Amino acid sequence: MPNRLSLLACALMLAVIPARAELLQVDLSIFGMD
Amino acid sequence: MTCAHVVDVALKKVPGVESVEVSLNKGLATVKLKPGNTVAVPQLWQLLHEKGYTPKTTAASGRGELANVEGNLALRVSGTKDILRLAVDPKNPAPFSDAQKKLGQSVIVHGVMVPGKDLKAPVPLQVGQVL
Repeated sequence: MPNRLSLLACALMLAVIPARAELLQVDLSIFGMD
Repeated sequence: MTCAHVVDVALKKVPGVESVEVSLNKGLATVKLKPGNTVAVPQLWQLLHEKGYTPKTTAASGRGELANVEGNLALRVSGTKDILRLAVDPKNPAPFSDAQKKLGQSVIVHGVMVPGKDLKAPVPLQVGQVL
């Protein structure tokens, strides 16, 4: 049973953590304010 | 304190950011990221929004392995399950087709990301160039 709970916890963590990739550079436009 | 300085300071506080260069003439903040960072573009958009700016189409570069994830082309960081979804640039579809032919290869993808109504929601990188 504890193993099943661990697996369930891992599955939930993977579902909750947002998928991210490694970005190198980002050019953000900051022209103008609200 | 200038607006540029406010943006500069805020972006430099984000873990994984290596350097920030703000150009008021170009209206652009160029953010260079450290290897192994977990920064996501929506996170930076949200930050700009909090400082009073409206995020617009953003140029971004990402490194990883081209993979097919649930039928969609994605960039996966080697050795991890982290992915960045890729999409066709409607104005320039050829680089996306090029990327599809390079499945499994480690590449650098340059492209643009367009913010949606929900700034926090993940958005795909529209492929502009594959190196």
